[in-house]
Amino acid sequence: MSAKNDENAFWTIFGYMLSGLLIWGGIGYGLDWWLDTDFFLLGGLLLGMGSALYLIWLRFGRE
Amino acid sequence: MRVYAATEGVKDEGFNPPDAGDFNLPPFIDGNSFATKPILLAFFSVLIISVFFILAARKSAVVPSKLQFAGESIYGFVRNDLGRDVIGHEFMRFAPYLFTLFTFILVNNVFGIVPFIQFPTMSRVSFPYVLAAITFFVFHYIGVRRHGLIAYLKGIMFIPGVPKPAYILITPLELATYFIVRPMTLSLRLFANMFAGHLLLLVFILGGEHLLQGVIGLKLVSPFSFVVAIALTFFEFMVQCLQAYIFTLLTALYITGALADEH
Amino acid sequence: MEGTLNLVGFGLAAIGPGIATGLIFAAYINGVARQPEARNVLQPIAFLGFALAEALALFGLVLAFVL
Repeated sequence: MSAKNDENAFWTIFGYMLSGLLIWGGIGYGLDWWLDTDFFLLGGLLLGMGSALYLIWLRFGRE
Repeated sequence: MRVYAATEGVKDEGFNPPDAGDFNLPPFIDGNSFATKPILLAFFSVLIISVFFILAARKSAVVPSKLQFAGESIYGFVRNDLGRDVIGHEFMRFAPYLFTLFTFILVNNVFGIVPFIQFPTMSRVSFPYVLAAITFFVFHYIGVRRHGLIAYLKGIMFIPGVPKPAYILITPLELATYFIVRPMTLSLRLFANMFAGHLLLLVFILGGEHLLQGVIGLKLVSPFSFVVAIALTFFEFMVQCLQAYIFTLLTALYITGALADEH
Repeated sequence: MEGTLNLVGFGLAAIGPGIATGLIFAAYINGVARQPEARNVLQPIAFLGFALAEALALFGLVLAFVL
C-alpha cells in the first residue's frame, strides 16, 4: 500500500507542476501576446512553479 | 532555432530511419478507413481475452486446472493488489472495470512483441485517449454521486488550512490537475511508452537488416544490432506489463481519491 | 535531417535533474531500508526534494518549446 502511495504521490507532484507551468505560464504567454511585452511569460512560469511547489508542500510536506 | 542538414535525396538511396510514418498503416480494404491493423488488433484482443477467461472460468473446480489457475491468478492479482489494497472495502464495485482495463491494455501492449503481429495497438494515440476518457468519466461520476456536484467541486478547489489569498494561486492548479492534466498524462504516458518502444525495436531491427546488405565489415557488425534488438524485446515486455499496471493503478487511485471523504 | 537545437539543449539539461532524482530516491530507499519506521519522516523530505529537482527539468521542457 505504501509503495502505491509513493507512486501516486510521484505522479501527483508531476501533475501539479505541469499544470502550474501550463496555467500560469499560459496566462503569461497570453498577456505577452496581447500587450506586446516579453516579461509576463517568465513571470508566469515562475509564479506557476512557485504555486505548484507551495501546493506540493501543502499536500505532502505538512504532516 | 531550427537546424537543417543536407540530406536531400537520401530518402531513396541508403538507410531510411523509421519515423512516425511507420505507424500509419494503410487500410486492408481500399476506402474503408476502419479496416486497419490497429482496429483489427483491438477486436482480436477482445476475442482472445473473452475466449481465454471463458475457458478458464467454465469448469471451475476446487482443485483448479492449469488454465483455471492462470485465469484466477490474473484476476486475483487485479482484484486484490489493485482493487482491495488501494480502494478499500468498496473494491468489488470497481473490480470488473479495473480487470477489463488491465487485461485489455496488457494484451494490446504485448501485441508489440508477439511475432507476426508486432504492433502495439496503444501506439496509436486514439486508443489511450478513449481509455483515459472512460477513466476520467468514471472517477468524476463516482465523486459527484458520492458527494454531490457542489461539494465535490468544492473539495477539489479548496484544500483546507490555507490562507485565503493563496486560493487565487492554487485553485486554478487544482482544477487543471483534475480536469486536464490527469487524463492527459494518463493517456500520453501509455501512448509515448508504446510509441517509443516500437520505434526503438524498429530502429535496431531495420538497422541490422540494412547493415547486413552492406560491405563485409558492416555485415560483421549487424549481428550486434540483432542481439540488442532481442534484448530490447525483453525490456519492452517489461515496459508493456508495467504500463498496463500503472494505468490500472492510477485509475484505482483516482477512484479512491474521488471516494475519499476528507477531500 | 532537420529539427530544433532546443531539444538537444533540453536533453542535456535533463541530465542534471535525472541524476538528482536518482540520488534523492536512492537516499530515501536506503533510509527506509535501514529504518522502516522512519518512512513517515523521510517521505515528505524525499517528495519535496524530488519536486525541487523535477521543477528544473520541467522548466527546461517548457522553455525548450517556448523560446
